[in-house]
Amino acid sequence: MDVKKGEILTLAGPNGCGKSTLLKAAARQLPLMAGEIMLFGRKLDDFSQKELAKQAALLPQSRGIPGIPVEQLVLHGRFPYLGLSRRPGREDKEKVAEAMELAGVADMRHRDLRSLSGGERQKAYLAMVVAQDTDLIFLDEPTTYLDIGKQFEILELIRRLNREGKTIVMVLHDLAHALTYSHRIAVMEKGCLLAVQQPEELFKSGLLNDVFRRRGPLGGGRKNILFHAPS
Amino acid sequence: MRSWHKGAFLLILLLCCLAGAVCLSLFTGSSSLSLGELYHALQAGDKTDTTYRIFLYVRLPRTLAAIFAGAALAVSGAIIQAVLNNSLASPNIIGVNSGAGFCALLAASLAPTAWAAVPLAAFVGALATSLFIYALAAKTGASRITLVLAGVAVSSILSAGIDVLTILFPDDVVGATGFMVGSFAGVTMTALKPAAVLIVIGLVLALVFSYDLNVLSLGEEIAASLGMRVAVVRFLFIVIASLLAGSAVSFAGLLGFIGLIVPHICRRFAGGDNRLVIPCAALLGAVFALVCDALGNGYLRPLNCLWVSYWHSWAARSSCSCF
Repeated sequence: MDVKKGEILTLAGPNGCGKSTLLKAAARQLPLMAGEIMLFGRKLDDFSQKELAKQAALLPQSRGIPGIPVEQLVLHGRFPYLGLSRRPGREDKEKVAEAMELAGVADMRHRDLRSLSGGERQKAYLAMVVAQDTDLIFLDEPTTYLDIGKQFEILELIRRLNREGKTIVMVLHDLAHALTYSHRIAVMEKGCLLAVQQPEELFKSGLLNDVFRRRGPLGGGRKNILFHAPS
Repeated sequence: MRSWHKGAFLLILLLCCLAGAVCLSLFTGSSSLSLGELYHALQAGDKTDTTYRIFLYVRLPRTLAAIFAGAALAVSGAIIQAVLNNSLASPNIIGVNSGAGFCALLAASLAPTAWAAVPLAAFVGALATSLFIYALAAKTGASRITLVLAGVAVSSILSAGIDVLTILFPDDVVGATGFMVGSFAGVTMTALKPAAVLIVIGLVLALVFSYDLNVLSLGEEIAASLGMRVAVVRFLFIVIASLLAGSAVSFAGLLGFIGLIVPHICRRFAGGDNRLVIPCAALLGAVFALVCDALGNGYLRPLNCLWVSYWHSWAARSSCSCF
């Protein structure tokens, strides 16, 4: 499976099919059992932790809610660029301001994270990821626990980030959202990658119907992306 | 800038409280000591003078011991609560109290005449137990919850060991009861010095790495995604925390409660930024220990230990209702 520069690729599939596992493995948060993941032509293991943090950012689904202002959270996105003194320079502050502007949280920069609504908090976290200034962003179910209006706000924001040049790989549960907002969709089932297609092709192929209705054993010939080396 | 002003105000306020608590501690005790007497005694420099001797060999070590122990335990608690993301965590969750208590009793039982070995044994026990708990947790995945579980399990085993020693050697461990409750009475400069050096090192390290503690508080996955080597940094913080708490219990006994309550009070006023929480915890921990000790020592003689325990339960109850 390849991720193309500048695209929004969505991982879709039933619960427990390994979407989040793949996402975390790609962000080097889980050890690989087999196979290999390459980032910009280099093996993932060859990157130091800081180097990797400058190339790819992961926003996990579950996380704590620290009692800090939004601006400080966004500033944490600059952590890979800070020196030993951990003091942000002018460039860091500019990036933080840009990120807050882009994510629409500039007017709540002094508010405590705990006082924000779920949607606002998600935007603040996305601003942190933007401030990290990586080409590649991994998002694990960025719209979970949000009402439908906020879900669209977040998805629009993700689209805006993509237009700014970010490559986005995300896990989405809502197929309608996945079909609307992705350039390509990777369909997975039981740890296997079934197809990577554009939304229209995928919709016409009827594969989604098969995957989400049928839960039987898999047929042969499909590549197991987690447990077998890619051919 | 608003938060910067708030932080400066908090720190200045706590420094004033510390100054007040130091005076309270220096001038309360079993014999009265006025400022005038003390001034004259210090100016005369007569080493045989009673006031001079009381001040130099009883009050000053006791006050310094309360400052160092309070600051160390509170900062240790603040670090552990942040690293484990657990509000109920305190130095005893990483085995500091049980390790120190067990080794202190073991030393007292094996060598009843060598009382000087007890603080050293307590320190070694605290540090060794927390490292063992970390190694155990690391072996099983090094997540925060395995660390808490390993801590609870190992602490229970060591507590059972403490009970066994108490039953088998009741005569040898009778002197260690004071140690188990915790007290600043009878602390000497000789016992305090090496521990104080370690505490200063621990406090400086805690302040230097307080920003990293903020990033770690975002959760392990986000911290790793931001380029932090989470396992290494978490280990570093556990070592700093056990160094601080181990040094404190080596001369003050098992005063674990400061490490639980004070960080909560600090976070209530200072927010979630550990760059402010850590210095606030150090100052408030010192104030807390000084005031408890002075009240127990000066006004509820000889019930200082009980007073501290009473304070503990009161503070625990009131903090539960606050948070």
